[in-house]
Amino acid sequence: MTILRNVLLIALALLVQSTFFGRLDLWNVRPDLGMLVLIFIAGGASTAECTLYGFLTGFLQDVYSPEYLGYNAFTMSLLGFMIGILRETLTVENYGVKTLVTFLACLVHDLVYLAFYTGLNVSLYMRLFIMGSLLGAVYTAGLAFLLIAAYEWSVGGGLRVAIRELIGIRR
Amino acid sequence: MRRILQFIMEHRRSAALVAALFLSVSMMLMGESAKTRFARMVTTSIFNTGRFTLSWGISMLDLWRDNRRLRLENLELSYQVNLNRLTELENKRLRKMLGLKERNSFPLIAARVIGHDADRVVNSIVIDAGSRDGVRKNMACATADGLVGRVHEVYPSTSSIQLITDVNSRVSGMVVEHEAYGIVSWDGGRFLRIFGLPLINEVKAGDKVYTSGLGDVFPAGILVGTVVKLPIREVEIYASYHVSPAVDFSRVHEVFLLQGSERPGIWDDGYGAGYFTRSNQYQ
Repeated sequence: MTILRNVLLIALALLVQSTFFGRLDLWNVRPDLGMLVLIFIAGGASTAECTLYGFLTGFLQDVYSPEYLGYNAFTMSLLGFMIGILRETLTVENYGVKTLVTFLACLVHDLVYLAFYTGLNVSLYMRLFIMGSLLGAVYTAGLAFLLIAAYEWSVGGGLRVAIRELIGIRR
Repeated sequence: MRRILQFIMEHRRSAALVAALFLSVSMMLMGESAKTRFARMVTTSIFNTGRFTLSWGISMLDLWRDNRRLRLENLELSYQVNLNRLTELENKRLRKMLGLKERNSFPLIAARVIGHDADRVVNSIVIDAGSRDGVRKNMACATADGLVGRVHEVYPSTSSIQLITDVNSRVSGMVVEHEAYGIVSWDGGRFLRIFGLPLINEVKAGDKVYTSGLGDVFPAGILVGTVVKLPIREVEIYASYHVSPAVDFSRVHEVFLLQGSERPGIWDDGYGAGYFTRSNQYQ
């Protein structure tokens, strides 16, 4: 059941990415929702599962542009594996650290992906990395921060608790 | 095989990574057309599955709506077909009646049958033409098939027609083939009866019986029916025959009244015009 939920989540993320999120671009930079979902799923999965979810996410992203078939699958598999290892060795609670992990994951993804994409053309590689990847990583990390905060807030009681605390009612 | 599986299970993380990377590299090494074909196959499968899943409910709703709409349409069309059939039948009848009108010298009043008399003793029908339309008592009433009866009662907008299958009805008839005259009456059953025919006439089944015009109640030449039975001997010098009415009285929908066929001065005892009393005895 968890597997089905995660697969549907990945599919939904990519659907939203290709439709609604296409309108959220800033200077031609878009957040990577697939990456966010992979990090979210990694919170409750083993390293092997993270690797396979990463592969699935990447593969589905590749299917949209068959010319680069396998690039995202390879990169996301690798990233899923790394996130899985990180999760097994490190327990992250702090918002800032979670956001930093997302930021770094995005950078690692683009470092590997651009290597395939540019055919190791260094000047092109550097230009794309600096102009696109850094901004994209910041954007995705910022979005991750907002989503994590919203999630934690809703789990912790949400608006009702916030209002109670605001007007001074204590449980 | 078991060892391989055991090895994979022990090194799941690495095995998953190697498998994922191997598949990714395999995809990268595919030719351009193979990549496109493969991607198209995957997207088609995924989207078809998704579309089928999502559209199933919508399709069912559409089917339900279509079914409902088609049922209503079917009902409406059935009703329309029935109306068309009725119109077609009416059209045929009216065409026949137009034929009657052409060959009859009397001016005709067309009328529609609107009911059968509630009185079970009197065999009659009610038509939608009355004195306002020029209908007069004792007018002969016919369809394209033959004689129906005579006007029995006249009201401003309706009239009652006494059928020739009423026990009090008497029609002066003639078997044309033999110029044999008799009286046509009805005394129950399917058939009329023509009686008073001289025995010397060899009337056969299939001979036509027309109104003779004698007695001035009905004009001559209207078909009454067809002889269907052998003679019923009553007295030695006269014969009676069964006559099948030319008109199917259960299917009379429109009639013509023959203007000028009535005789205003005809004797009437209140039970029917003619030369017979209530006890059907000859005067």
